[in-house]
Amino acid sequence: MNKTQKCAWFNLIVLSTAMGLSAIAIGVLYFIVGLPMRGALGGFGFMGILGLLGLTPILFRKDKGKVQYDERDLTICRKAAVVAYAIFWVLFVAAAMVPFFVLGPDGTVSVTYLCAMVLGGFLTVTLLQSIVTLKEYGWRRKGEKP
Amino acid sequence: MNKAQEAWIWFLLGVLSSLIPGGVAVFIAYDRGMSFAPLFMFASITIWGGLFWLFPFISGKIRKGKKKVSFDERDQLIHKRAVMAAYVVLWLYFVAACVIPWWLVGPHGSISVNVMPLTLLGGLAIFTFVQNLATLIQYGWRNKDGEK
Repeated sequence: MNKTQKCAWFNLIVLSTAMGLSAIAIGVLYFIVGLPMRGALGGFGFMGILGLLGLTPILFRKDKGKVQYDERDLTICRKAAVVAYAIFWVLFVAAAMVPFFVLGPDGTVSVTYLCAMVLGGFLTVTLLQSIVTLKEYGWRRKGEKP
Repeated sequence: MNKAQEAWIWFLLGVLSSLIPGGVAVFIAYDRGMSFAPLFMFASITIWGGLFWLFPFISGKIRKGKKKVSFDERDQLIHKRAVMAAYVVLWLYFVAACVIPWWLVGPHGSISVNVMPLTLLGGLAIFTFVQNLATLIQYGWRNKDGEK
């Protein structure tokens, strides 16, 4: 498993953990504890786990004297990024146009919605990039020499 | 002149032919209020903008038979790089467009929904501009890429 695959797996695990724990916390606070939805949304605090993504360059350092990145890796990374950003673009269009059609031209949206768009965009891009990278390499060590 | 340079010229023509009458229409609307003239100009620009995208397509179709190879591996690589650069700039624009209103009106403020489609239009314009610019930079501004 090369560095890019390790990074993709790490991103995927951190994202899944953060999103999963947030969803569970919101569900527990709303349905079991009985907090109103505004209070239950405090479960999004688990999104702070995403801060671990910043450790990627430290955790997966480049080994000296070893070629870790060739043309194939570059093509895969580029393809993953393009797919992720292409889907992000579609979601961006939807997120911008849906409030316009739902609320009408005289409506207003809270700026919190815009911040949620940034978070959603970041999650979408990182998640899709990791999934496409792993799909392109293969989910396991197929074809790699030990 | 290669394909990218043609695309760049088409893009510039499209932007200029929309921006100039658009600016005049906005000025008239602000100065004299909304009347038939600015509405007609806005409608014309919308129709022109909608149809303008057809010109490069039709031009490409007409001239397809004249060139033997119009798109090889090098063109594909340049296109991919240009798209990537455009996406990076689009991402920065998206973050700025979402955070700046929050910063301007405060965390409890709200903005008109009319800003959202405008943000989208801005994103589209920036994406197209950066993609064309990156393509042109990679090919070179003139015919210096060994074309016969």
